[in-house]
Amino acid sequence: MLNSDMAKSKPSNRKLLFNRLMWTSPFWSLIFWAGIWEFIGQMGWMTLLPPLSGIWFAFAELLEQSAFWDAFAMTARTFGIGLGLSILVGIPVGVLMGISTRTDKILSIWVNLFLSAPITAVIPALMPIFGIADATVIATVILFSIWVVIIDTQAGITHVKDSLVEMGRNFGCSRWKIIIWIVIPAAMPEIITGVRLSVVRAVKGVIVGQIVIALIGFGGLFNTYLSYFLMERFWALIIVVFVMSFTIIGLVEMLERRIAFYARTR
Amino acid sequence: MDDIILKTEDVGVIYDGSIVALENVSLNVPTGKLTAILGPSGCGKTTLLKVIAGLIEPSTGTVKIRDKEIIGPGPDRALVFQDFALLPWATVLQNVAFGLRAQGVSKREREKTSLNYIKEVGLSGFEDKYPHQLSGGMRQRTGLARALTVNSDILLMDEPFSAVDEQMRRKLQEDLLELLKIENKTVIFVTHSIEEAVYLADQVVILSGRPGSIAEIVYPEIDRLGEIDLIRRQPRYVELVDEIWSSLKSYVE
Repeated sequence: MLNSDMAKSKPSNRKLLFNRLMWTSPFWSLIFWAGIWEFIGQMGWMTLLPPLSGIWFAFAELLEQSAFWDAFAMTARTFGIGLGLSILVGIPVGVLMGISTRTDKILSIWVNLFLSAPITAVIPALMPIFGIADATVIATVILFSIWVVIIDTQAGITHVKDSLVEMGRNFGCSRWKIIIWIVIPAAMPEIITGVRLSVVRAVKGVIVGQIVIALIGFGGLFNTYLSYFLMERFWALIIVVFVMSFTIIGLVEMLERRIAFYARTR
Repeated sequence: MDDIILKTEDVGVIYDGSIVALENVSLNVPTGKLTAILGPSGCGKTTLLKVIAGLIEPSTGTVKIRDKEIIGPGPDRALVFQDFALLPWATVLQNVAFGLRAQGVSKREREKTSLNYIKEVGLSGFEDKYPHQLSGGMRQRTGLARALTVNSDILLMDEPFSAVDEQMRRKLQEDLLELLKIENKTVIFVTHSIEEAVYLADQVVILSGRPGSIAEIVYPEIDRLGEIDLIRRQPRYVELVDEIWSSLKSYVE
Protein backbone atom coordinates (compact mmCIF):
# COMPACT_ATOMS: atom_id res chain seq x y z
CA MET A 1 0.00 0.00 0.00
CA LEU A 2 2.62 2.42 1.18
CA ASN A 3 4.97 1.39 -1.60
CA SER A 4 2.47 1.85 -4.37
CA ASP A 5 1.59 5.27 -2.99
CA MET A 6 5.19 6.30 -3.09
CA ALA A 7 5.62 4.95 -6.56
CA LYS A 8 2.67 6.97 -7.68
CA SER A 9 3.72 10.14 -5.98
CA LYS A 10 7.25 10.17 -7.38
CA PRO A 11 6.55 10.90 -11.04
CA SER A 12 3.81 13.35 -10.14
CA ASN A 13 6.30 15.28 -8.01
CA ARG A 14 8.74 15.37 -10.87
CA LYS A 15 6.01 16.56 -13.20
CA LEU A 16 5.08 19.26 -10.73
CA LEU A 17 8.66 20.45 -10.59
CA PHE A 18 8.85 20.44 -14.36
CA ASN A 19 5.65 22.45 -14.61
CA ARG A 20 6.87 24.92 -12.07
CA LEU A 21 10.15 25.42 -13.91
CA MET A 22 8.42 25.60 -17.26
CA TRP A 23 5.75 28.11 -16.42
CA THR A 24 7.05 30.13 -13.54
CA SER A 25 10.80 30.39 -13.97
CA PRO A 26 11.60 33.68 -15.69
CA PHE A 27 14.45 31.95 -17.49
CA TRP A 28 12.16 29.66 -19.48
CA SER A 29 9.79 32.45 -20.21
CA LEU A 30 12.69 34.45 -21.61
CA ILE A 31 13.87 31.53 -23.74
CA PHE A 32 10.35 31.01 -25.05
CA TRP A 33 9.85 34.61 -26.14
CA ALA A 34 13.38 34.86 -27.51
CA GLY A 35 12.54 31.84 -29.69
CA ILE A 36 9.40 33.50 -31.03
CA TRP A 37 11.36 36.68 -31.69
CA GLU A 38 14.08 34.76 -33.56
CA PHE A 39 11.44 32.96 -35.64
CA ILE A 40 9.62 36.15 -36.66
CA GLY A 41 12.93 37.86 -37.36
CA GLN A 42 14.20 35.01 -39.53
CA MET A 43 10.97 35.07 -41.54
CA GLY A 44 11.78 38.69 -42.39
CA TRP A 45 8.19 39.85 -41.99
CA MET A 46 9.15 43.16 -40.46
CA THR A 47 12.25 45.19 -41.23
CA LEU A 48 11.93 46.79 -37.80
CA LEU A 49 12.35 43.45 -36.08
CA PRO A 50 15.63 41.72 -36.99
CA PRO A 51 16.34 38.21 -35.67
CA LEU A 52 17.64 38.05 -32.13
CA SER A 53 20.88 36.34 -33.23
CA GLY A 54 21.63 39.36 -35.43
CA ILE A 55 21.10 41.62 -32.44
CA TRP A 56 23.57 39.52 -30.47
CA PHE A 57 26.27 40.18 -33.07
CA ALA A 58 25.31 43.85 -33.16
CA PHE A 59 25.76 43.89 -29.41
CA ALA A 60 29.31 42.59 -29.77
CA GLU A 61 29.99 45.30 -32.35
CA LEU A 62 28.47 47.91 -30.09
CA LEU A 63 30.92 47.07 -27.32
CA GLU A 64 33.82 47.87 -29.68
CA GLN A 65 32.53 51.32 -30.53
CA SER A 66 33.91 54.33 -28.74
CA ALA A 67 30.61 56.17 -29.36
CA PHE A 68 28.87 53.54 -27.25
CA TRP A 69 31.34 53.87 -24.39
CA ASP A 70 31.16 57.65 -24.55
CA ALA A 71 27.38 57.45 -24.29
CA PHE A 72 27.68 54.91 -21.49
CA ALA A 73 30.08 57.14 -19.56
CA MET A 74 27.85 60.15 -20.02
CA THR A 75 24.81 58.23 -18.85
CA ALA A 76 26.59 56.95 -15.78
CA ARG A 77 27.93 60.42 -15.01
CA THR A 78 24.64 62.29 -15.36
CA PHE A 79 22.75 59.55 -13.55
CA GLY A 80 25.20 59.56 -10.65
CA ILE A 81 25.35 63.33 -10.27
CA GLY A 82 21.59 63.82 -10.70
CA LEU A 83 20.59 61.05 -8.32
CA GLY A 84 23.24 62.09 -5.81
CA LEU A 85 21.97 65.66 -5.78
CA SER A 86 18.37 64.45 -5.48
CA ILE A 87 19.21 62.42 -2.40
CA LEU A 88 21.54 65.00 -0.84
CA VAL A 89 19.00 67.80 -1.27
CA GLY A 90 15.80 65.75 -1.05
CA ILE A 91 16.41 64.20 2.38
CA PRO A 92 17.18 67.49 4.19
CA VAL A 93 14.21 69.19 2.51
CA GLY A 94 11.96 66.28 3.51
CA VAL A 95 13.28 66.40 7.09
CA LEU A 96 12.65 70.14 7.23
CA MET A 97 9.10 69.65 5.95
CA GLY A 98 8.56 66.89 8.48
CA ILE A 99 9.63 68.91 11.51
CA SER A 100 8.33 72.34 10.53
CA THR A 101 4.66 72.76 9.65
CA ARG A 102 5.39 76.13 8.11
CA THR A 103 7.93 74.74 5.65
CA ASP A 104 5.54 71.91 4.91
CA LYS A 105 2.74 74.35 4.11
CA ILE A 106 4.96 76.37 1.78
CA LEU A 107 6.52 73.45 -0.09
CA SER A 108 4.10 70.52 -0.05
CA ILE A 109 1.86 71.81 -2.87
CA TRP A 110 4.87 72.19 -5.16
CA VAL A 111 6.37 68.86 -4.27
CA ASN A 112 3.06 67.10 -4.87
CA LEU A 113 2.55 68.97 -8.12
CA PHE A 114 5.93 67.95 -9.50
CA LEU A 115 5.60 64.42 -8.16
CA SER A 116 2.64 63.73 -10.43
CA ALA A 117 3.49 66.11 -13.30
CA PRO A 118 4.67 64.71 -16.67
CA ILE A 119 8.24 65.96 -16.33
CA THR A 120 9.09 64.89 -19.90
CA ALA A 121 7.13 67.87 -21.18
CA VAL A 122 9.48 70.23 -19.35
CA ILE A 123 12.72 68.90 -20.86
CA PRO A 124 12.55 70.99 -24.08
CA ALA A 125 12.32 74.06 -21.84
CA LEU A 126 15.43 72.96 -19.97
CA MET A 127 17.59 72.82 -23.09
CA PRO A 128 17.88 76.58 -23.68
CA ILE A 129 18.68 77.05 -19.98
CA PHE A 130 21.27 74.33 -19.51
CA GLY A 131 22.41 73.80 -23.08
CA ILE A 132 22.61 70.54 -25.02
CA ALA A 133 25.00 68.90 -22.61
CA ASP A 134 25.31 67.03 -19.35
CA ALA A 135 23.60 69.79 -17.37
CA THR A 136 20.23 69.32 -19.07
CA VAL A 137 20.29 65.56 -18.50
CA ILE A 138 21.31 66.07 -14.87
CA ALA A 139 18.43 68.53 -14.43
CA THR A 140 16.05 65.98 -15.94
CA VAL A 141 17.29 63.26 -13.61
CA ILE A 142 16.78 65.57 -10.62
CA LEU A 143 13.31 66.61 -11.74
CA PHE A 144 12.38 62.95 -12.14
CA SER A 145 13.80 61.69 -8.87
CA ILE A 146 13.90 64.34 -6.15
CA TRP A 147 10.19 64.63 -5.32
CA VAL A 148 9.67 61.10 -4.15
CA VAL A 149 12.68 61.38 -1.80
CA ILE A 150 11.21 64.54 -0.28
CA ILE A 151 7.69 63.10 0.09
CA ASP A 152 8.79 59.81 1.62
CA THR A 153 11.26 61.44 3.99
CA GLN A 154 8.60 63.90 5.13
CA ALA A 155 6.08 61.09 5.67
CA GLY A 156 8.64 59.10 7.64
CA ILE A 157 9.50 62.05 9.87
CA THR A 158 5.88 62.93 10.67
CA HIS A 159 5.07 59.31 11.55
CA VAL A 160 7.79 58.96 14.18
CA LYS A 161 6.09 58.02 17.43
CA ASP A 162 5.54 60.94 19.82
CA SER A 163 6.77 58.86 22.72
CA LEU A 164 10.24 58.54 21.15
CA VAL A 165 10.52 62.31 20.88
CA GLU A 166 9.20 62.73 24.43
CA MET A 167 11.79 60.21 25.56
CA GLY A 168 14.53 62.33 24.01
CA ARG A 169 13.19 65.49 25.64
CA ASN A 170 12.85 63.72 28.97
CA PHE A 171 16.52 62.80 28.96
CA GLY A 172 17.52 66.34 28.14
CA CYS A 173 18.36 66.07 24.44
CA SER A 174 18.45 69.31 22.50
CA ARG A 175 16.12 69.68 19.53
CA TRP A 176 19.07 69.06 17.24
CA LYS A 177 20.07 65.85 19.03
CA ILE A 178 16.48 64.60 18.95
CA ILE A 179 16.45 65.04 15.18
CA ILE A 180 19.83 63.39 14.59
CA TRP A 181 19.65 60.62 17.20
CA ILE A 182 15.97 59.75 17.17
CA VAL A 183 13.81 61.23 14.43
CA ILE A 184 15.96 60.59 11.35
CA PRO A 185 16.94 57.01 12.29
CA ALA A 186 13.30 56.27 13.16
CA ALA A 187 12.23 57.52 9.72
CA MET A 188 14.92 55.44 7.98
CA PRO A 189 12.60 52.78 6.49
CA GLU A 190 10.54 55.44 4.70
CA ILE A 191 13.66 57.36 3.67
CA ILE A 192 15.18 54.20 2.17
CA THR A 193 11.95 53.46 0.31
CA GLY A 194 12.03 57.01 -1.05
CA VAL A 195 15.61 56.53 -2.20
CA ARG A 196 14.74 53.24 -3.92
CA LEU A 197 11.81 54.81 -5.77
CA SER A 198 13.99 57.75 -6.72
CA VAL A 199 16.58 55.39 -8.23
CA VAL A 200 13.84 53.88 -10.39
CA ARG A 201 12.73 57.34 -11.47
CA ALA A 202 16.30 58.52 -12.05
CA VAL A 203 16.90 55.59 -14.41
CA LYS A 204 13.86 56.68 -16.40
CA GLY A 205 14.94 60.31 -16.21
CA VAL A 206 18.44 59.72 -17.53
CA ILE A 207 17.16 57.78 -20.55
CA VAL A 208 14.12 59.96 -21.26
CA GLY A 209 16.27 63.08 -20.97
CA GLN A 210 18.76 61.82 -23.54
CA ILE A 211 16.06 60.63 -25.90
CA VAL A 212 14.12 63.90 -25.84
CA ILE A 213 17.32 65.87 -26.45
CA ALA A 214 18.15 63.23 -29.10
CA LEU A 215 21.64 64.56 -29.77
CA ILE A 216 23.75 63.31 -26.92
CA GLY A 217 24.51 60.05 -25.17
CA PHE A 218 22.28 57.05 -25.76
CA GLY A 219 19.63 59.40 -27.16
CA GLY A 220 22.00 60.45 -29.90
CA LEU A 221 22.87 56.81 -30.65
CA PHE A 222 19.20 55.77 -30.76
CA ASN A 223 18.51 58.63 -33.14
CA THR A 224 21.42 57.75 -35.44
CA TYR A 225 20.59 54.02 -35.56
CA LEU A 226 16.92 54.69 -36.29
CA SER A 227 17.56 57.21 -39.05
CA TYR A 228 20.01 54.81 -40.78
CA PHE A 229 17.79 51.76 -40.18
CA LEU A 230 20.49 50.02 -38.13
CA MET A 231 17.80 47.98 -36.41
CA GLU A 232 20.13 45.32 -34.96
CA ARG A 233 22.14 47.99 -33.16
CA PHE A 234 19.01 49.83 -32.14
CA TRP A 235 17.61 46.72 -30.45
CA ALA A 236 20.98 45.83 -28.95
CA LEU A 237 21.06 49.26 -27.35
CA ILE A 238 17.49 48.89 -26.06
CA ILE A 239 18.44 45.61 -24.45
CA VAL A 240 21.56 47.17 -22.91
CA VAL A 241 19.46 49.97 -21.42
CA PHE A 242 16.85 47.54 -20.08
CA VAL A 243 19.45 45.29 -18.50
CA MET A 244 21.21 48.28 -16.97
CA SER A 245 18.04 49.62 -15.34
CA PHE A 246 17.04 46.17 -14.17
CA THR A 247 20.43 45.59 -12.57
CA ILE A 248 20.55 48.94 -10.78
CA ILE A 249 17.00 48.56 -9.43
CA GLY A 250 17.72 44.99 -8.37
CA LEU A 251 20.81 46.15 -6.46
CA VAL A 252 18.87 48.86 -4.64
CA GLU A 253 16.10 46.44 -3.67
CA MET A 254 18.70 44.09 -2.25
CA LEU A 255 20.11 46.95 -0.23
CA GLU A 256 16.64 47.92 1.00
CA ARG A 257 15.91 44.41 2.22
CA ARG A 258 19.03 44.57 4.35
CA ILE A 259 17.75 47.64 6.14
CA ALA A 260 14.15 46.44 6.30
CA PHE A 261 14.53 44.93 9.77
CA TYR A 262 13.82 48.34 11.22
CA ALA A 263 10.30 48.38 9.93
CA ARG A 264 9.20 45.17 11.64
CA THR A 265 9.65 46.58 15.08
CA ARG A 266 7.68 49.77 14.83
CA MET B 1 4.38 64.61 57.96
CA ASP B 2 6.92 63.32 55.47
CA ASP B 3 9.35 65.38 53.51
CA ILE B 4 7.70 66.75 50.37
CA ILE B 5 9.90 66.50 47.28
CA LEU B 6 7.40 67.56 44.63
CA LYS B 7 4.35 69.74 44.72
CA THR B 8 1.77 70.72 42.15
CA GLU B 9 -0.14 73.91 42.90
CA ASP B 10 -3.47 74.55 41.17
CA VAL B 11 -2.27 72.89 37.98
CA GLY B 12 -4.68 73.19 35.09
CA VAL B 13 -4.28 72.24 31.44
CA ILE B 14 -6.45 73.60 28.66
CA TYR B 15 -6.01 72.19 25.14
CA ASP B 16 -6.79 74.25 22.06
CA GLY B 17 -8.13 77.10 24.15
CA SER B 18 -11.30 75.32 25.19
CA ILE B 19 -10.84 71.67 26.18
CA VAL B 20 -10.14 71.47 29.89
CA ALA B 21 -8.04 68.38 30.57
CA LEU B 22 -7.00 69.17 34.15
CA GLU B 23 -8.32 71.58 36.75
CA ASN B 24 -6.97 72.75 40.10
CA VAL B 25 -4.70 69.82 40.78
CA SER B 26 -2.80 70.46 44.00
CA LEU B 27 -0.78 67.53 45.14
CA ASN B 28 2.05 66.79 47.53
CA VAL B 29 4.42 63.97 46.72
CA PRO B 30 6.41 62.71 49.71
CA THR B 31 10.08 61.83 49.30
CA GLY B 32 10.92 58.18 48.83
CA LYS B 33 7.30 57.09 48.53
CA LEU B 34 5.26 55.70 45.69
CA THR B 35 2.35 57.86 44.64
CA ALA B 36 -0.18 56.35 42.28
CA ILE B 37 -2.40 58.50 40.08
CA LEU B 38 -5.55 56.51 39.48
CA GLY B 39 -8.59 57.26 37.40
CA PRO B 40 -10.79 56.24 34.50
CA SER B 41 -9.33 56.54 31.01
CA GLY B 42 -9.42 60.04 29.60
CA CYS B 43 -9.37 61.68 33.04
CA GLY B 44 -6.06 63.39 32.44
CA LYS B 45 -3.76 61.07 34.42
CA THR B 46 -1.13 60.96 31.70
CA THR B 47 -1.49 64.71 31.11
CA LEU B 48 -0.77 65.32 34.78
CA LEU B 49 2.30 63.08 34.61
CA LYS B 50 3.56 64.88 31.50
CA VAL B 51 3.09 68.22 33.24
CA ILE B 52 5.18 66.92 36.13
CA ALA B 53 7.75 65.60 33.63
CA GLY B 54 7.91 69.05 32.07
CA LEU B 55 6.78 67.81 28.67
CA ILE B 56 3.51 69.78 28.80
CA GLU B 57 3.42 73.32 30.11
CA PRO B 58 0.47 73.82 32.44
CA SER B 59 -2.00 76.53 31.47
CA THR B 60 -2.39 77.51 35.10
CA GLY B 61 -0.51 76.72 38.30
CA THR B 62 3.02 75.46 38.89
CA VAL B 63 5.00 72.33 39.62
CA LYS B 64 7.70 72.71 42.24
CA ILE B 65 10.53 70.37 43.13
CA ARG B 66 12.03 71.12 46.53
CA ASP B 67 10.18 74.43 46.38
CA LYS B 68 11.75 75.38 43.07
CA GLU B 69 9.49 75.81 40.09
CA ILE B 70 10.31 73.50 37.19
CA ILE B 71 10.83 74.72 33.64
CA GLY B 72 10.68 71.87 31.14
CA PRO B 73 12.20 68.40 31.65
CA GLY B 74 15.12 68.03 34.02
CA PRO B 75 17.64 65.46 35.18
CA ASP B 76 15.77 65.14 38.48
CA ARG B 77 12.91 63.30 36.74
CA ALA B 78 13.13 60.19 34.55
CA LEU B 79 10.18 58.77 32.63
CA VAL B 80 9.15 55.19 31.97
CA PHE B 81 6.79 54.98 29.01
CA GLN B 82 3.63 53.00 28.42
CA ASP B 83 4.82 51.91 24.95
CA PHE B 84 8.42 51.53 26.23
CA ALA B 85 9.74 54.15 23.75
CA LEU B 86 12.82 52.08 22.92
CA LEU B 87 14.93 52.80 19.87
CA PRO B 88 14.34 49.79 17.60
CA TRP B 89 17.74 50.09 15.92
CA ALA B 90 19.65 50.12 19.19
CA THR B 91 20.58 47.21 21.44
CA VAL B 92 19.42 46.87 25.03
CA LEU B 93 22.74 48.27 26.19
CA GLN B 94 22.55 51.25 23.85
CA ASN B 95 18.95 51.91 24.83
CA VAL B 96 19.70 51.76 28.53
CA ALA B 97 22.70 54.04 28.06
CA PHE B 98 20.70 56.60 26.08
CA GLY B 99 19.99 58.96 28.97
CA LEU B 100 23.66 59.05 29.95
CA ARG B 101 24.69 59.56 26.34
CA ALA B 102 22.36 62.56 26.17
CA GLN B 103 24.11 63.91 29.25
CA GLY B 104 27.47 63.56 27.50
CA VAL B 105 28.86 60.76 29.68
CA SER B 106 31.78 58.95 28.03
CA LYS B 107 31.07 55.64 26.33
CA ARG B 108 33.06 53.55 28.78
CA GLU B 109 31.52 55.21 31.77
CA ARG B 110 27.93 54.96 30.55
CA GLU B 111 28.28 51.33 29.52
CA LYS B 112 29.66 50.45 32.92
CA THR B 113 26.72 52.12 34.68
CA SER B 114 24.21 50.67 32.22
CA LEU B 115 25.48 47.12 32.67
CA ASN B 116 24.93 47.51 36.40
CA TYR B 117 21.31 48.48 35.98
CA ILE B 118 20.71 45.89 33.27
CA LYS B 119 21.77 43.37 35.88
CA GLU B 120 19.58 44.99 38.52
CA VAL B 121 16.42 44.72 36.40
CA GLY B 122 17.25 41.12 35.51
CA LEU B 123 18.29 41.49 31.90
CA SER B 124 21.83 40.14 32.11
CA GLY B 125 22.72 38.22 28.97
CA PHE B 126 20.41 40.33 26.80
CA GLU B 127 22.68 43.37 26.48
CA ASP B 128 23.22 42.89 22.76
CA LYS B 129 19.65 41.99 21.82
CA TYR B 130 17.41 44.35 19.90
CA PRO B 131 13.97 45.36 21.24
CA HIS B 132 12.11 43.25 18.67
CA GLN B 133 13.90 40.18 20.02
CA LEU B 134 12.51 40.79 23.51
CA SER B 135 9.16 40.07 25.14
CA GLY B 136 6.97 42.93 26.33
CA GLY B 137 8.09 42.43 29.91
CA MET B 138 11.75 42.52 28.95
CA ARG B 139 11.21 45.64 26.89
CA GLN B 140 9.74 47.41 29.87
CA ARG B 141 12.63 46.24 32.04
CA THR B 142 14.88 47.92 29.47
CA GLY B 143 12.81 51.09 29.76
CA LEU B 144 13.04 50.94 33.53
CA ALA B 145 16.81 50.39 33.47
CA ARG B 146 17.19 53.39 31.16
CA ALA B 147 15.26 55.55 33.62
CA LEU B 148 17.35 54.27 36.53
CA THR B 149 20.77 54.88 34.95
CA VAL B 150 20.40 58.65 34.96
CA ASN B 151 20.04 58.42 38.74
CA SER B 152 17.28 60.98 39.11
CA ASP B 153 15.45 61.26 42.41
CA ILE B 154 12.01 60.98 40.88
CA LEU B 155 10.82 58.16 38.67
CA LEU B 156 7.73 58.89 36.59
CA MET B 157 5.90 55.86 35.24
CA ASP B 158 3.09 56.17 32.71
CA GLU B 159 0.98 52.99 32.89
CA PRO B 160 4.24 51.06 32.55
CA PHE B 161 2.74 47.60 32.86
CA SER B 162 -0.45 48.01 30.86
CA ALA B 163 1.04 46.74 27.62
CA VAL B 164 2.11 43.36 29.05
CA ASP B 165 0.01 40.34 29.96
CA GLU B 166 -1.40 39.73 33.44
CA GLN B 167 1.21 37.23 34.66
CA MET B 168 4.05 39.42 33.48
CA ARG B 169 2.40 42.45 35.06
CA ARG B 170 2.35 40.76 38.48
CA LYS B 171 5.97 39.75 38.12
CA LEU B 172 6.99 43.25 37.11
CA GLN B 173 5.04 44.77 40.00
CA GLU B 174 6.76 42.48 42.48
CA ASP B 175 10.14 43.19 40.94
CA LEU B 176 9.49 46.92 41.09
CA LEU B 177 8.78 46.72 44.82
CA GLU B 178 11.94 44.66 45.36
CA LEU B 179 13.91 47.18 43.34
CA LEU B 180 12.54 50.14 45.29
CA LYS B 181 13.77 48.52 48.49
CA ILE B 182 17.32 48.95 47.14
CA GLU B 183 16.95 52.15 45.11
CA ASN B 184 15.76 55.06 47.15
CA LYS B 185 13.41 56.71 44.66
CA THR B 186 10.29 58.77 44.72
CA VAL B 187 7.89 57.22 42.25
CA ILE B 188 4.85 58.74 40.59
CA PHE B 189 2.94 56.02 38.90
CA VAL B 190 -0.04 56.40 36.56
CA THR B 191 -2.45 53.48 36.39
CA HIS B 192 -6.05 52.64 35.65
CA SER B 193 -5.90 49.51 37.79
CA ILE B 194 -7.19 49.84 41.34
CA GLU B 195 -5.42 46.64 42.38
CA GLU B 196 -2.13 47.88 40.99
CA ALA B 197 -2.48 51.23 42.78
CA VAL B 198 -3.29 49.67 46.14
CA TYR B 199 -0.63 47.01 45.74
CA LEU B 200 2.18 49.41 44.94
CA ALA B 201 1.39 52.82 46.34
CA ASP B 202 1.83 54.61 49.62
CA GLN B 203 -0.49 57.31 48.39
CA VAL B 204 -3.28 56.83 45.84
CA VAL B 205 -4.52 59.98 44.15
CA ILE B 206 -7.92 59.42 42.61
CA LEU B 207 -8.77 61.68 39.68
CA SER B 208 -12.37 62.26 38.68
CA GLY B 209 -13.39 62.31 35.03
CA ARG B 210 -13.33 65.29 32.66
CA PRO B 211 -12.03 67.72 33.52
CA GLY B 212 -9.56 65.81 35.67
CA SER B 213 -9.34 67.00 39.23
CA ILE B 214 -8.46 65.29 42.49
CA ALA B 215 -11.48 63.49 43.89
CA GLU B 216 -9.84 61.85 46.84
CA ILE B 217 -6.46 60.80 48.22
CA VAL B 218 -6.16 57.41 49.90
CA TYR B 219 -3.22 56.18 51.98
CA PRO B 220 -3.15 52.37 51.78
CA GLU B 221 -0.69 51.95 54.69
CA ILE B 222 -0.02 48.39 53.65
CA ASP B 223 2.93 46.63 55.21
CA ARG B 224 5.39 46.00 52.36
CA LEU B 225 8.39 45.21 54.49
CA GLY B 226 7.60 41.51 54.74
CA GLU B 227 6.92 39.01 52.02
CA ILE B 228 5.75 40.77 48.87
CA ASP B 229 3.54 37.92 47.71
CA LEU B 230 1.51 38.17 50.91
CA ILE B 231 0.33 41.73 50.20
CA ARG B 232 -2.64 40.63 48.15
CA ARG B 233 -3.87 38.50 51.06
CA GLN B 234 -3.88 41.29 53.59
CA PRO B 235 -7.44 42.22 54.70
CA ARG B 236 -6.46 45.87 54.36
CA TYR B 237 -5.64 45.34 50.67
CA VAL B 238 -9.00 43.75 49.90
CA GLU B 239 -10.90 46.39 51.84
CA LEU B 240 -9.16 49.24 50.08
CA VAL B 241 -9.73 47.88 46.59
CA ASP B 242 -13.47 47.74 47.41
CA GLU B 243 -13.48 51.15 48.96
CA ILE B 244 -11.75 52.82 46.02
CA TRP B 245 -13.98 51.06 43.54
CA SER B 246 -17.13 52.33 45.23
CA SER B 247 -15.77 55.86 45.17
CA LEU B 248 -14.58 55.59 41.55
CA LYS B 249 -17.80 54.03 40.31
CA SER B 250 -19.59 57.35 40.20
CA TYR B 251 -17.05 58.72 37.69
CA VAL B 252 -17.37 55.84 35.29
CA GLU B 253 -20.42 56.00 33.12
